[in-house]
Amino acid sequence: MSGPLDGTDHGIGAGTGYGYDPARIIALRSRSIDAIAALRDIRCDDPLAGEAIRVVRLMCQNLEDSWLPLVNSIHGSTAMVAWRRAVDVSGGPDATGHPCVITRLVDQFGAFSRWIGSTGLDELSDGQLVDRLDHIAERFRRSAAGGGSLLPTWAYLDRILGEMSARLDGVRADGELADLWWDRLGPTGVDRLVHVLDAAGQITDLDLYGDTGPSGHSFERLGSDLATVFGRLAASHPEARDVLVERSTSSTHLAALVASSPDAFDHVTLVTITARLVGYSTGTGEWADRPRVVDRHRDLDELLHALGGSPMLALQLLSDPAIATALATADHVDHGAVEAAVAAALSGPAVDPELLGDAAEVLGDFVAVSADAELNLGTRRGVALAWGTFAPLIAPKLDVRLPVDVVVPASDGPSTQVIHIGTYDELARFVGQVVDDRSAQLALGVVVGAFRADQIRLATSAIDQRPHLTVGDARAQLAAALADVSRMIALVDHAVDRQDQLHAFRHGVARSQATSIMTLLGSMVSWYAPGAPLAGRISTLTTRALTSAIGATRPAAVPDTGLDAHLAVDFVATVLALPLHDATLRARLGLAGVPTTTWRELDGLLDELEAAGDDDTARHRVRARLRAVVDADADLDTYLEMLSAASGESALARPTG
Amino acid sequence: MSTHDPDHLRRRARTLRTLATTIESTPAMALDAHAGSDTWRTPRADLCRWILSTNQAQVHRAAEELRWDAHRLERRAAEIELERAALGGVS
Repeated sequence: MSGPLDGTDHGIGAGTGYGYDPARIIALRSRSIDAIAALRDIRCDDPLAGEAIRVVRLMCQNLEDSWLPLVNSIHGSTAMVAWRRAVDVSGGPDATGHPCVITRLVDQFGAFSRWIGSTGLDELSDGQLVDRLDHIAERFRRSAAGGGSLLPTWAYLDRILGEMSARLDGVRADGELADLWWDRLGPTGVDRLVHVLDAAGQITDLDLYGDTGPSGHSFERLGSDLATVFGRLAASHPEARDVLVERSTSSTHLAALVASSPDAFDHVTLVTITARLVGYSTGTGEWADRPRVVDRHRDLDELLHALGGSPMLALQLLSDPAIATALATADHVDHGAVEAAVAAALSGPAVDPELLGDAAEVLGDFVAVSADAELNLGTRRGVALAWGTFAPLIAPKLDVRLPVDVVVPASDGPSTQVIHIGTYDELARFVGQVVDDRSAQLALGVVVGAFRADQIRLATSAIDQRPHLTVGDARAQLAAALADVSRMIALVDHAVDRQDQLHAFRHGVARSQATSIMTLLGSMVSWYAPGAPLAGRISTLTTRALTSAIGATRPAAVPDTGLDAHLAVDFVATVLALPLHDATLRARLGLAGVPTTTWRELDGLLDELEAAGDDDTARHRVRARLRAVVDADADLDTYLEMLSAASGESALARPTG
Repeated sequence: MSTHDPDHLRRRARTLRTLATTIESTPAMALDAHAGSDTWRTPRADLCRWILSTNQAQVHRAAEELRWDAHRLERRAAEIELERAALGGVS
């Protein structure tokens, strides 16, 4: 930590330790005393000099209370005394006094010993440090209450906290120091520290000294440091945590506490703190008469972001309908923070499937809220991101004539429970609010596209289990799986007035669709041509299709009717090229009866398509001729229709207007 | 009465200018030159330097305000004298 000065300026920020030059310290002390005396002598009774005199007095006070005590403490430190004694032993007192002694010592030890390291507080035991903190916290509280200068006390408190933070690294592991704190401080001592932190938070809010001071010193940092210390105390000592929560009159440090140690707080505490942060009273009156900061954006944002990493905690929080309502409609909260918390909460079942019922109830709460109020952007985006959790649950229930009631496993037993999400129209109105935001709409599109990919994967997996399944049966099974996707897309369509409002949604679906095609083609080979040496060719073709799809799915380029044209051309080319180049595959796909002349014609058209490059007009012309050739052959027509249905193209190909 | 006495206003202005010079030249304003990282190097020293520099900036601002006030007083004194001269000419 400490070390000799070697002639280079390490600087505090470099983290190379502390130190001082004894001779310079003595000179500084003398100059400081002179400076204070000179400041004291400054007087002026002119009315216009009032502010100047006040500033002079403030400077004098800071030098007296903060500056000179530090100089004195260094000047009178044990290291200095020991150093002088060493001189006495070696050569006896110098007749000319200290300065000469110092000069001799500096000469004697050279640069190596010119600096004497000291951390100041590192000589204190843990107990002494806690006592010191207790004492200085009380001083700070009195200063804050009295409106006096906080800087001197803060400076010392900041130093104590720095030392304490350094010692606390291992507290969570052994808890020894936390116990010591608790034993020493007790509820009253913790209460004092809470006052310190509240005062620091208030001062930070007032921005009296700017956002940051030099070297990161600021009241904000003080509050942050203290909250971190509290967080460690709370994490290792539940009783201390309870006192902190109970005694607090400010949400500032509570948010920081939870953010630093979210696992240390139970559901009730979490709900209470967040409720206070959003300005919501639980209705019990417990918090109604306590001072509350209802607009602490940063605190709430920090807390919600922390919850974004803890789906189960986030779900517990939003399981309180009042909090879910407050968060979903709050307009003063960071959208990203709400999005993180909502997405995490609704994705809770991915962590623990038993949470599906709780998550569905939260979704139902959001649907109900959307009937009377506007959801904020964060909620809309969070819902869209987590929609995949509910898609398999809701999709089979989507019928305009029936309420959307989902059946989930009961959380407290082997039975099931029915959760009412809303009517079809209510759900559509809710989805309408979600897709009203373009970002949420895009996310919803990607999720629905992924849902389709999942459905295809599940269906193909089921088909794989039945090797003797006919092509027609496989097609029927795929169609059934894709019907849920179609219902989900129909719900989104129902939610908006005009189809051209869904460009971002279709964009998202199309992106996922590229993946679906890859999945589909890979599955096709495994169904009908196991072991066929086509993997390399399929990889090339589908990669090209994927690249084309991504390039063609800019929002403005997404057509109103399903697959974008660019992707569709590649899709057709891909699925025709596969059997074209492999006679075995042709037989397995039921295309053995297609005349050789037709294959040759198709081969030529595919070459033309390749030559067309990015010329969309030429590509469309070639595609039309491809379709004409395919339509003329019953087997090829069936083959393409099947693939179109399986890829979901038909589900997206809704008429415009 | 004093607010209409040009001599009194000028005395006040001199007092304020003197005070401005005094507070800007007080030893505390040069204390930082002796308290650099070659003297001490601790977080608290860093903070003390910051507090000192903040106070020094406040002192400089206060000194500027004093000089501005002095200027206003002198200008007011001159205006009064001109007004009196004008009145004397009229009478």
